[in-house]
Order: sequence, then structure tokens, then C-alpha cells
Amino acid sequence: MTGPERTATASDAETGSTARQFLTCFLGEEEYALDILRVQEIRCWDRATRIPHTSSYVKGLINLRGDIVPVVDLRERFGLPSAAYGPQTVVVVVKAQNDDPDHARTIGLVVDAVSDVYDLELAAIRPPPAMGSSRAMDFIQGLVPQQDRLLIILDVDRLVDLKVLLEETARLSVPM
Amino acid sequence: MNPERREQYLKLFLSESADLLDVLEAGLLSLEQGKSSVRTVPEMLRAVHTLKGNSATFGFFDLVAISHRVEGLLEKARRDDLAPDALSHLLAVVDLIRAILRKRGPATEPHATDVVEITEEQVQVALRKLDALQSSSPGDKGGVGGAAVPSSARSLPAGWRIVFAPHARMLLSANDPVLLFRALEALGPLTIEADVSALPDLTDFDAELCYLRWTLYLRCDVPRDLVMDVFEWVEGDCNLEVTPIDDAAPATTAAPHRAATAPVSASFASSTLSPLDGTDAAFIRVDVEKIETLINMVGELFITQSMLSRYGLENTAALPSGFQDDLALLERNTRELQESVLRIRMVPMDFVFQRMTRVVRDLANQLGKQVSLALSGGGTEIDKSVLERIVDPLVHLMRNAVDHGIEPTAARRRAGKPETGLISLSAQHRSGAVVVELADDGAGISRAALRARARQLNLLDDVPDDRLLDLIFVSGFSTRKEVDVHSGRGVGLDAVRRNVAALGGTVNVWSEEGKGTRFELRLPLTLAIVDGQLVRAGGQIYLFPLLSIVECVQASAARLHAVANARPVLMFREECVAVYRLEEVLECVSPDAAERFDEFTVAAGDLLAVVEAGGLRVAFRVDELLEQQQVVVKNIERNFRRVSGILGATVLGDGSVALILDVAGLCEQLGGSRVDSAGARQEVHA
Repeated sequence: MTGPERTATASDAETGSTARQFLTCFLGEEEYALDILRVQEIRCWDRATRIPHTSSYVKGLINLRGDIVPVVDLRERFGLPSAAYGPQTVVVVVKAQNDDPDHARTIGLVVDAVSDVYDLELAAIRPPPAMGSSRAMDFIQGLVPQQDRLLIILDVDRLVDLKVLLEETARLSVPM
Repeated sequence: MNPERREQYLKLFLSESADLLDVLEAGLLSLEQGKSSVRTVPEMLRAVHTLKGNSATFGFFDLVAISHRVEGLLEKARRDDLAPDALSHLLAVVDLIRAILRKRGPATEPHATDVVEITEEQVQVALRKLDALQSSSPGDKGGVGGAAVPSSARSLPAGWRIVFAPHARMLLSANDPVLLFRALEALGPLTIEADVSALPDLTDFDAELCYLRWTLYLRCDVPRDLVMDVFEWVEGDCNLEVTPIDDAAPATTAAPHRAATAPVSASFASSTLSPLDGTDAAFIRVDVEKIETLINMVGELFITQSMLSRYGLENTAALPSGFQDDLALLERNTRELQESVLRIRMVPMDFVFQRMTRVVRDLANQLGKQVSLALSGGGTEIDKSVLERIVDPLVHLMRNAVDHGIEPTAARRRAGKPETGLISLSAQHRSGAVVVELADDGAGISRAALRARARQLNLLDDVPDDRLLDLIFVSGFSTRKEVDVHSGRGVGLDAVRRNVAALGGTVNVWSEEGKGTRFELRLPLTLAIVDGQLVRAGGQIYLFPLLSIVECVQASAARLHAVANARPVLMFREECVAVYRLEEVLECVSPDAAERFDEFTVAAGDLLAVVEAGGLRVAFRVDELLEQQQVVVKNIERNFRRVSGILGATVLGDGSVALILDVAGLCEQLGGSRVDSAGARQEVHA
């Protein structure tokens, strides 16, 4: 099933708006969207090597064709109740476009399942209202109503950002 | 030059210039010590000339001006020896050029200890002094010295009018006028008029001959020499006339006339200058990144081959005969390939040795001491990244040797020692490591002073003699308040030990009062691969670098003691070593681990790995000892961050990731406690 088709390019040119493609995935009932340009691949969950002195949401390191990539459980990172890993559990490997021009940092995000690819108009993205201090708030770029659902757009660069990672580690009183 | 290419060439220029300056410096030092050969000055001239040309290409005219004058002085050196102060100044000029180059390039040097700000003023002072030295001895014929003394007082004409008439056959020697014009253009705004009157009909046209001549106007106040230098390669193949522009004399006809109005710098013609490339044909300059890529790929190949081997071992029955042999062959080939590729990164210790010569010379002169440096084993090869990280520690040890080791001349005489102090620096391969020794025949380290200082710092009262020397590596131990302009941050013997330990190496010291001191650094050959001992702890696999392991033992009840309110302790070779559970220290338990945190104890019969780093010993309890393996070290900071206690990661034969332990970091983190035979813990340093 494909998402809503791209509207005619003529109207795009008229309004000057741009659409971007997003991959969505499920965390429980919520549907989160990731900029497809930053999605490198999708893998099945497999054992990861745990890393010393890290929060429990960092599941560990995996070997991705020679690249050592950390895997993060988004549910735990966002403070959602954790779920058992099943055969549907996947790891979405994303690359950020951050500080280093030579190397885009890559991390894996554990999600319940992957949903679909959507074309979303950038203009349709609404900024998130202040919804309290959920940990996810830091990473939400915006919200997009989509038919009868609400897609939550995540800021991948921020998810991967080293500084954010270090701050979180410092903030958490018990690392493990 | 388009900006991207320029960026690329700039890197090459900086790298090549650094090499050229090294050649120049080495030559100057050998001249100073009277050890030069007939080839020394020509080699130096070649280096400076190349530097000058390259600098002109990039428009670095301050460097052009400096190199030009250095060339002039070196030309003098062909005929008579240069005075010591001239040599000293030239060495200072080398440093000046280095500083200027550092400013021009990106800050890529990991070990740049001093960033000295170079002002225009300093450049001018250096130039004036060079001029003064140049003109100090009269009677040098023609050449650079005579024709061009561009002292700052003399004003230059607003420009030059150049009539350039190549001989017909000039093109045959692969000289392209366009390149000459571009070089001129690099000096300043240029207008060109071509005279095509001599062009024959197409039927008579010989494509290999030159029928054109040009009149060029260079509107820029550069010294005449620079203009003449552009035409240096073609001086015999053309008629050249260079006249200043604000001269009253009008431009004569475009028709060429025989005599050039001024002699072209004759001195350069005689030297056997190689083309601008100048590099030795046996070497190729390669971008480090390409090598890293190659090493990574070979590393991957190695891992893939390991996985294949493991598969082969586990499925012997299912595979056709002969397959095992093929796998074994594959393993041998892969191993050889990996060793060859890693050798690419190996560079000889000479790179560091040269720096040492300069350090000793400068410091000895500054302190008024007589010191001679004996070097050996400069050809010993070591991984470039290891080399880069021991340069600073070695320089520091060297400075200590000259400053505090070697006594002043008078004191040496009184002690019946030869007046010139001897420092020896050697490097050699020994049992899989590189051992660097730095020894001096100076005053040695005073035990009494050490004890006094220890008491002063409220450290342990009764230290056995062999432990006493180790104290010099303790942070804050040194009694000297050095305000040394050359000291960067983080110097001190504690930093030396720490830096060496961070590499997986060790540094030790021996000393005898009145006789001298010796430092020994043991360094791993390379950082890219490591020989390690795989262990299982807390449900997952870790790797201890073999160099860090003292011994793996099974704790017998007799040797394992519980010490009240403290950790369990192992009696190991007459020493008490604290025992830790590895997964507890790392705070890392895999979901598949058999035990939980609260059940952590160490019991008799457990396996202990006794490790050592930076003089500290610790024992780690592990669940299982697995095989020893050589692995490729992968960086986890690329995608994650630095993790304390972890050096890096590697991929095992089954494709899973194993963490490589940073033993030095762990030992330091766990505290500098050495437990003495009475069971009391002694804090050697905080």
C-alpha cells in the first residue's frame, strides 16, 4: 500500500511548496515519521554487545558490514513502557547529517514495526504544542495530520547528536 | 586556480614544504657540526629553490622573499663556509617558515606544541638580517648576491617591461611560454603583446618551432630577480630584455636585439636543479586517508576470512575434502596481505630523531652546556600514529636530560667526567614491541631529594628503593617550577607516562647518582591491530591486549584473601593485588548473563586475569578464558562516543562485536592503590 500520491507537480510549482518522503514506524499505537533521506536501511533485531556505563536504552553495538553502530531503543529513550522484542521488531538504521562532513554518524533505532513511506507536504507540518515534559519532546520536529492519524516527525539529527547524548548521560543519575 | 583544486594542492604543498624544510634543517645542522658532504649544500639549494617556486605558485610572497634570500646565503656557502651566527639565523628562519606554513594550513597537526604568532614585523626583521648576512662578505661574483640586494630601504620600480624572444628551437626543450607567462602573472598584473610578424605560411610552418615573440608588461613592484627567475629555465634559448617601467627610456621596437641588458642570474645555471617535483623517484606521496581505507578493507577481508574459517571448522563433515586445505591457504594469504598493508603505515624512527637533534642543540646552546647526541636505530619502523603520539613525550624526556640530567661543564670537569655530556637515543625491535631508550651520563636522580619530596607531599613514609624512582611519574611530584616558554599544556613526567600507557606501552626509569639516568619506553608496533586475550564476563566477550596481561591465574583458596571492608585481594608474586569483577567495574551485564549484580563475589577457583598498566596492577575476575587472537581495532567514537575503560571494538569470527579493554584507563580509574604485604592500602597518588 502506498501513501497518498504526490500532488501534481504543476501545483507544486505554483505554490512553491516542497514535499518530502518519510518512513513511518510504530511505537505502540503511535506512528513516528523519519526523513527517508536519512534512513540507511532496515534490519531485523539481533543480539547487540552492551556498552559499559551507558543508559539502558542503549542496547549495544552491532556490526554493520564493518561499521560499528550503536543501537538505541526508542521506546525506552522516550520513556514509554518497554515491550518485549518479537519477530517483527526491527532496527531502523539512520544516518544524521551532523557536524563532521566526512562521516555521517549512524545509529540504529529499535522500533516495534515499520509502517509505510509517505509524501508529506512540508507546509502541512505543524509545530508540536507544549505537551509537558515527555522525553520525546526534545526530538519531535512537528506533527502532521494524515487521514485519521497523526504522524509525529522526529528530528533524526538530534537523535544522533553526540552532545545531546552526553548531556543525557550526565543528567541521568543512575547510568544503568 | 579554482578553489577546490587549490585546497587539494595546498595540502600537498604544506606536506611537501615540511619535508623540504626538514632537508634544509638537517643540512644546516650537519654544516654546523662539520659533518656535511659535498652534496649537502646542493641538496639544500634544491630544497629551498623548490620551496620558493611552490610558494610563488600559491602567491605566498613572504615565503618567496624569505626563500630567495636563503638561497642567496646558501649560494655563498658553496664557496666559503657560513659563519656560525649565519647558520643559527638560518635555523631560526626555518622555524619562521614553519610557523608561517602552520598559519596557512588547516590545524591538522595533532602534536603541534607551540603555536607561535608570526607578525609582519618578525618577517621583516628576519629578512633584514638575511640581507645583512648576505652582504657581509664582499667579492662574491655576480649571482644573486650581487645583482639583487633588495634591502627594505631601496624602492622598486612600478613594474617591468619584458621583451621575450624565444629562439626557434626553444619549444623543443619542452618549455611552454604560456607557463612562463602564468608564473609572471602570479607576481602581479600582466599585459601581453604578441608579435606574430615572423609567422610563415602554413605550408612552411613547422609546428615544433617558435615563431612568436612577446612584449610583456608586469605592473608590480617585485625585485628584478623574481622576474629573471621565471625565465631561468629558458635563459639559453631566448633573447630576454627586462627593463624597469618607470624608467624614462621608451620601449624600443619589438624587433629583438642580441644582447640582454642585464645578466641572467648566472649562479643558478651551474647547479643541477631538478624539476619542480624534486621528489625521489622511489617514493610516492599518498594521502593518509587512502591508506586508512585500504587498511579498513583488508581488515574486513580478515574478518570475513575468519568467519569462513570458523564455518569450515564447524562443518568439516559437510564440506568436500580439500576444502579445509583451501581455507588454510586463504587464511595464510589474508594474514600476509594484512601484514603487508600494515607495513605501509610504518615509518622509521628517523622522523623523530631529527627533531631530537634540533631540540638538544637549541637547549644546550640556550643553557650553555656541552652536549652531544648519539642516535642509533633510526631505521627502526613504527606505526605512524604511534610515532606521532610519542614525539612529545620523547621531546620532554630529552629536554629533561639536557636541562636536569647533564651537568654544567664546570661541574662535569670537577667530577672527572668528559666536558661534553653524552645523551644516547636508540630504538630497536624487541619481542614484538619497539623499545626506545634515552640515556644520559649526567647527574642521575638523587634518592635523597626524592625521599624529601615524598615526605613533603605527605606520601608514604617508607618506600623501598626500587619504588622510589617511580615517584617521578607521579603528578605534581616535580619540585621544579618551570616557566618554560616551550612547554605546552600537559607536560610533565606524569603526562609522559599517561600518554605512553594510553598507547598500550610502558615507560620505566633507571638511575644512578653521579653516573646517569636511563628511560626505557616500550611501545606497540601498531595501533591498528592488537594481539589480545578474549574473555567472557557478564555474558559477553571482551578482549585484553596481550601486552597488558601479566598472567592469568586460577585463584586458589590459599592465595585469595578477603580483607575486611575492602576488596578481595590476591597474593601474586609476593605482592597483593586487588581483585575486581570485570562486569562490575564496567557496569555492564548482558541480558544473557548468568548472574545478576547483587550476586557478585569472587570465590576460590575463579579465573583471574592479572593486568598491568602504568605501574599499577589489578586482577579481573572473568567467567571464562577464550582464545588468543589478533584483531583489527575499530573506533567506536565514529558513531557513538568515547567510553571509559574501552579502547575500541572489534568484530569476531561470528560477526559479533567484542569490546577491547583500555587497561591503562581501567587501572587509573580504579585508583592508584598498591597494596603492600601487610594488607594495608597505600595511596601512591590520588
